[in-house]
Amino acid sequence: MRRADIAGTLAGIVVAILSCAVVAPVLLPDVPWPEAARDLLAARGLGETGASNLVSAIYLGYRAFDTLGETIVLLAALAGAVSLIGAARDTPLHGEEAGVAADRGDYRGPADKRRRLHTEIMDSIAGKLAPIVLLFGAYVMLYGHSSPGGGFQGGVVIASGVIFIAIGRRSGGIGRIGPRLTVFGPRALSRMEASAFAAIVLLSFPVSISAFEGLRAGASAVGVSVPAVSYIVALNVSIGLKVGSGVALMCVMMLGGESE
Amino acid sequence: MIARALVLCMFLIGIAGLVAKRNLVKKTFALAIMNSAVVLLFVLEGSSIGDEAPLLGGPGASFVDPVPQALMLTAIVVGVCVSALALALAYRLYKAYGTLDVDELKRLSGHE
Repeated sequence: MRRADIAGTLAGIVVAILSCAVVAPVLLPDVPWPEAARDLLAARGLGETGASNLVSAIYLGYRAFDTLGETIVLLAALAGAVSLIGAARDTPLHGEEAGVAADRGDYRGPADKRRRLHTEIMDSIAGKLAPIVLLFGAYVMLYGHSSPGGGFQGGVVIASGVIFIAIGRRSGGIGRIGPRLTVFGPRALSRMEASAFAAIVLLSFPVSISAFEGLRAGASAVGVSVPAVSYIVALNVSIGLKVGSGVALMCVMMLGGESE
Repeated sequence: MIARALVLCMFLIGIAGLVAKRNLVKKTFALAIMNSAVVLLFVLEGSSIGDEAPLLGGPGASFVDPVPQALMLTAIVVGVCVSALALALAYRLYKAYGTLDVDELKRLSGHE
């Protein structure tokens, strides 16, 4: 055994012991979990926010600004990832001529291996599964205030539906959604993301909250009752659209699907 | 107790992958495993005071604590952001140097 290997093994053991020492005290003590927050939310969450799903009540009612910051983090990461992928696509692969790499820049290897990653099962199933997944995502997004789900969860399900479409429409795919439909292309996705983000920011202003309250009062004056939870539903829908289009855009870029 | 020990094991697996593996993509997934372990720990701890989903209108009143669940929603989103950005960086490095091995990358970029 070489000296470097012994040193590496010893370092590994030291790292394992030290990380155990850091993490174990978090896991081992048996302090009972406090029940105060749970009881308070169970008593007052529905009345104060209108959402019977208490998780939604927290992150869209009590902590909506935190959620706004979270969507900004997602937007920043997405912008970074998309610009990195876009820039990497333009640089030729190391050790190759620019013309060769531009052929199909995202995978280096024999053509038959690339072919095998792209099987007929995927081609025939993905496009047909997509509408069902999209419908389920819309349900999770729209009913997040009263059942398990919400904007982030529904958005991720919608993104997987869009990824199914993107896989099913690649060359040779027999997806049911025509390849000329550009609603699910990167450009449309980034536009959708930008407008959904604008909607979230607009909904977060105190002015729009008071405007919403005024709308509710006016509607109840003419006999139409607008439930208080519709504000949370609107936030859920815009977050779902933003997360869905953002994650889908990222994955479609990684699949190399910008060749419209 | 067993569940918490398993979460600890999962976290340590993540650390081991992060330290020992040399492939950047594997390192990224090790980070994702560590993130999942933390998420599991919070949800597990919050569920120690109840056994029902935090939805009002159900039969019982012994909910799990919804606060850690709402916190972990944020953590999951941030974890996805970290993974996506790290994978994009790895892709860029692969395009520039033709390898994902950190030692190779160090050598090729002249930092060794």
